[in-house]
Amino acid sequence: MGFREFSRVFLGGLCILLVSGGVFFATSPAAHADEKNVAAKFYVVDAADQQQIADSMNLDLSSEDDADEDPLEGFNRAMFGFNEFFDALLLRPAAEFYAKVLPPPLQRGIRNFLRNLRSPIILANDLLQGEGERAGITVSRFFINTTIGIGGLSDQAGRMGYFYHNEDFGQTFAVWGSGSGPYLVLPILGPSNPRDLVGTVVEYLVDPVNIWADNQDHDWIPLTRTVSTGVERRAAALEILDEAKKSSLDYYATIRSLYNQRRADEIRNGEDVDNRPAPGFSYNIFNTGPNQASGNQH
Amino acid sequence: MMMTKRQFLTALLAATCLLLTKPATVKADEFTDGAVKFIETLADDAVQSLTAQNLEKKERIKRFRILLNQNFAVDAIGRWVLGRYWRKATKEEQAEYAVLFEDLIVATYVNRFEEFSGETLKVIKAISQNGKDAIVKSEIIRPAGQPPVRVDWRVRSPNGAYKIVDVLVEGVSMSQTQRSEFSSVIKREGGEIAGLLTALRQKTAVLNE
Repeated sequence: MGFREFSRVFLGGLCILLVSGGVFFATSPAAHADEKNVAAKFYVVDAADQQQIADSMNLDLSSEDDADEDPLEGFNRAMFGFNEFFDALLLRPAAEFYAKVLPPPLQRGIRNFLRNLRSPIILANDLLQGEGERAGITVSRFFINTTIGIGGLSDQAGRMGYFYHNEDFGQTFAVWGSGSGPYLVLPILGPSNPRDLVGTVVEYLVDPVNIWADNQDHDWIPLTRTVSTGVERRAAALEILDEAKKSSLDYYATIRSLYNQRRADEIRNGEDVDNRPAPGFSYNIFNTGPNQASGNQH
Repeated sequence: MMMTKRQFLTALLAATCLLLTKPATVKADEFTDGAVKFIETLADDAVQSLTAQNLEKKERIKRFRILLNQNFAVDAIGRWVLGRYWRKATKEEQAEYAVLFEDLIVATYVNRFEEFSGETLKVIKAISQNGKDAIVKSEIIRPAGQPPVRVDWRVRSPNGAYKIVDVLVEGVSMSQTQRSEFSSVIKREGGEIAGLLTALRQKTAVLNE
């Protein structure tokens, strides 16, 4: 199967998923529990908090479940299991080879090159989100790294303080007001949701390097790029995911929570943590009597 | 350029608001400055007492527990993480959960100090939030060319002593992640806290080997 055929099949599959996801998204009541509703939920809890101060227990009265929303959990867990299998069989060994056998300078070169190649996509999304300053950083990085950084192999801009940041269409849609839809684990691609999946497809279709390669019949270019990006990202996450797996009681739930929180943070560009749920938000944690308060010394 | 009446009134209103909020800002500054010092001191203490190479595991764990309980509202975080299930739990379950929750934190984080390789924590600033919390923003500094890792500490000061109620790494809340995870475990165990306690017992036993 040539790459052209493969990509047609792949994109076709994605479109089917997308449409079914979209239908589900539109019809599922849970899908409408977007960020605003979550925030509202915690305000309600906070109001109940006042009442609970008198009640020495001071706990969350909400009957809502505290686990992240996941109406497709059955499908997702099955897909997660498949991905774990794929990871153990192929992705992880490749990532370990990359991280442990390739010399570190070569690894850095590959990572920098792949990141530099993403510059047009990042710039487009900086601009679509009206982030002028970040767009400026992206442009500066691209010119510095493509020239002084020898075609993007060396991150000279990072040394000057112009750090890499990521942007994608999923984030742009979120900034424009789109809800995420239900959490969705994709085969091989991993954690996502309908909004981010549409973003992934759009990115693939509009990426200048992909378009150019397609016109020139260099089908191997997007394929090599996709595979090496996947391996590079998996390698970067080796330790973090091992730690998470080791210390978590439910690895699937941990990854789901990490994905949702990381995406929310990326969409905010790491700014304002206002209205985030946190201990002390839902009940007065220190109003548990003098014995509790001094009990911290044990 | 002439100001319209509307612009003038808006400016006046803004100025009044600034004047009115000034005393509150001064008070908040004391609170946030204290929070910055608190985190800086904690970082120093942790490096001093936990990162020595030749420390025995038992001793490292003991020291970690002391620092943890001095600086974190462990009980309160544990209850918040359990959420609505705290109330459903019996007194015995609550007591066992409190012990296991602390053990899980110790088992998860204590080894990280063994692998410590001289990273520094740079405290940037603290901002006050909803009148009772301070968010202390800090960064773990990494080798040149790599962006620092963002760490935010949500801190409270009941009765003058600062306590950490949450830590956010690159926007990911440790407490929120555990809350979501524990809730998921309980749900899978048919809403029984006993199932979570079993899982916690197994996990802490494995990690403490």
